[in-house]
Amino acid sequence: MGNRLEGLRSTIALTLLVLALTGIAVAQQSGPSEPEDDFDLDSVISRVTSSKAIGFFTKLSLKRDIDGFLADVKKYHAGRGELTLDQLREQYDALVHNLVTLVQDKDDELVKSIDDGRDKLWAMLADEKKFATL
Amino acid sequence: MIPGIWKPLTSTLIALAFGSTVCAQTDQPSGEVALEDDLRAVIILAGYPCARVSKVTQPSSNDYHVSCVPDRQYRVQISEEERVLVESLSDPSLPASPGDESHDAFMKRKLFSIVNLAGHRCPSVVTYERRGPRDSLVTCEDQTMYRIHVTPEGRIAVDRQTLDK
Repeated sequence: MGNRLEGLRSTIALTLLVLALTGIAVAQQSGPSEPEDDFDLDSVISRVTSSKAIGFFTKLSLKRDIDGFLADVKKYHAGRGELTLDQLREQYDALVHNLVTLVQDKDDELVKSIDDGRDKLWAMLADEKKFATL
Repeated sequence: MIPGIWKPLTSTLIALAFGSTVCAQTDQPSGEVALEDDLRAVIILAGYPCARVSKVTQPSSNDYHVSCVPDRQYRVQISEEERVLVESLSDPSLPASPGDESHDAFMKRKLFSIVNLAGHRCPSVVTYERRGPRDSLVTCEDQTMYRIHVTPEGRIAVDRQTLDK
């Protein structure tokens, strides 16, 4: 039972880290006219990871899609990807839309943060050097 | 580094680890996602329709049997690799989802889930047309069409389309 709990914790931690990374990048990449100092990263991390708008199993499901997507981006940058950059962008947009659909009506502030940063986050994912730092 | 990470998940963790009853999990504190809504979202994210959850049973700690309206049964499991697997009990010929899938299948599954999570009914997405990063048009198996687009406020709007005459 203890091992199972530890395993679940590690899975959840990974899930939340992936979601949190998305949140961090989104926060860091907000509108160009807004200084980054305006953003409290810890607050964003906390808001995403502890969001009551998304259930536990739903977070695990999202993790799988995000993991798969990031693996495909990694393959693309390694030159052995099966997807084009345009296809990856399509998948990225669909993932973001999916996430927003789940949280809208429950956390409009988070929706705004995601929308503010989505294009710049994609720019980071699409850039091999920047992606390596995520 | 991640403040408050465990707080909202504590009850679920305990329930999963110690196999508590469904009733215990559905007694969610106000504002948290109810188990039925969580399982419905998981089923839809996996690409299966579920308008509403009518019944949930829990044969074991990592195994849920879910009845959906209209008349569909699913099994939602956490695998040994601690991944969520969704299997259709109503139609065992359907593969457990999601497995390896092409780009086209991924996009159709994501668009399907966006339409259905928004409260519309789309049995499956048969075609889609991308009109840009913020705008797509999907056609469902029952020939209904939906436009999925981002509003100026950053929200996702799903609008049913009528055929031009």
